[in-house]
Amino acid sequence: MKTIVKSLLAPRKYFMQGNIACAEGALAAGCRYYAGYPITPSSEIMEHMSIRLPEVGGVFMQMEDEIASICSMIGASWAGAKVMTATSGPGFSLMLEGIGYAVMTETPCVIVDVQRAGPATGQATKPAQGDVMQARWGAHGDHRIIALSPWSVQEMYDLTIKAFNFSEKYRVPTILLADEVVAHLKESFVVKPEIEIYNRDKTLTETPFGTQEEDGVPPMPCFGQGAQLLVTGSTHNEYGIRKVADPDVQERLVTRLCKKIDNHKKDICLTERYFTDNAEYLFVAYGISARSSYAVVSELRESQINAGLLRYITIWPFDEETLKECALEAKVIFVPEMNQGQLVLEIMRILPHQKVIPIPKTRGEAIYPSDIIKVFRKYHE
Amino acid sequence: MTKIKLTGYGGQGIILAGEILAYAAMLDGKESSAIGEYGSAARGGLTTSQVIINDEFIASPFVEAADILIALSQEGYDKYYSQVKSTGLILYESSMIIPKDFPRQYAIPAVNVALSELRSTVVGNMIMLGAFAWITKIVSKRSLISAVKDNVSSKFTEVNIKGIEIGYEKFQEIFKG
Repeated sequence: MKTIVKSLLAPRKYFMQGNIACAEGALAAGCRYYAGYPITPSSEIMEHMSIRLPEVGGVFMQMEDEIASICSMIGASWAGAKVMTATSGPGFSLMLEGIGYAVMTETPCVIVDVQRAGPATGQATKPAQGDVMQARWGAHGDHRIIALSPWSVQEMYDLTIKAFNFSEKYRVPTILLADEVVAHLKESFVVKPEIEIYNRDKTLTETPFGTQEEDGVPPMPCFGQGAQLLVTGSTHNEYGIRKVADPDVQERLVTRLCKKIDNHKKDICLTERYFTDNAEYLFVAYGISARSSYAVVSELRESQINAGLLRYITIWPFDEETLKECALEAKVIFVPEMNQGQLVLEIMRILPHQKVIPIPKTRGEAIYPSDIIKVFRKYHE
Repeated sequence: MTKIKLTGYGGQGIILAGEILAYAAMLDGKESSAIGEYGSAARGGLTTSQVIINDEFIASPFVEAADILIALSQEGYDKYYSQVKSTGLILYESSMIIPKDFPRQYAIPAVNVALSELRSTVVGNMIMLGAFAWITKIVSKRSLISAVKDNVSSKFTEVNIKGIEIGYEKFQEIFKG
């Protein structure tokens, strides 16, 4: 249920690190359980939660590893709490099995992945955007998740709140796909007096795993409330009873798990456009790469070049319609990413007849405006 | 928009200085950002802070061509002096750095002054910030001092504030020369 609450922090301007803003956003959204295992460059989130959760009546748990962390928070979510964990690439890989379990059991939870240079342990203190496809497809089986990509300290706060709201509303694991730069960036951001939050529907029901509609989200009573709850990662009917050989139940469940997201893209998909009307050169970017792209677009506009930026705030599910609209008049579409080309694959699939140019960078550094300009010059007569 | 790079080795307080500077700019009513870069070791190794101060939203928080470089180590100076705009300014720690040719640069004996006047080995960073504030007027001394009060543990507030004040007062002759 949607409700307006007062912010936890006094409303004013703050100067904060992205990770701390993320933790404060979680607390403001109502997060009262955190289970985690520290890992650079996400550790400040955990450290801050360990100090702040007891202050607001919440519970903080340092677990023995990331598998235990995600399982612990799934349990806490079923006990009725709003829950979060934060990690980086290596830990995120370990959490994927649990994320799949949360998808199947429709357990609201927020996972922050502060991306660092990989694969494997890679460069722990250096930034990357290498987990874009892992966030989408990492858990096995056909499924949907929601992933949001912040580009500022302000959004480390705002999008963490949004992640909780989506997670509660759609009963789906929601991933805040940050990167090392945004996480460690310090800049000013504003806390408003009130925020909008969404609390899950805890109505007692006999069918917490099914709805009449094929894209519905059932209420989620929690343990101790009196519902006879069966929670299982195996295929189950609307009552939660295991049906591991029934093709109809399997089809109905998987279809609903996907359609409850797909059919609500208008609500979930957030994008921002800068000068995209009639843009001849369209930049499509997310996270910190979008900040550099924005600097480039502003510079090009000053030299009368018709450039625009489409920024993806929600990466998954992917908003196809907005991309098609913005690309209508584009001669070239550039996609700067701190990986060897991940989201660009989606863009090439959606715009098969247009010139889509990846701008990859995997040097353990952010993409700077000069990296983007260099590639742009090759395509601008 | 002013783009500033602070550089030195781990332990000199480069990251803190960048944050104090950006925070002070916020107190002055501006938009500001700070990015700290450091290796995985706690002390030693090249450390850099990128600070941008602007009147409106900062698009890219990265400092590629800097308007101002504040260098506290030779390694940092060597790496970044060529990336400073030719119209820019360099402040460098004179006891640590042999400078190269650059149109507008000043040698600041921040570390020696910290030792002789404050008996501290670690407030060279604040002395540099004080000197920076005096010559550039980009941030006010008052905001720098408030930034220290808000961000440095109370045990070290006093010595850091003294560092800023000394840096602000002491090198005015050097800048005039």
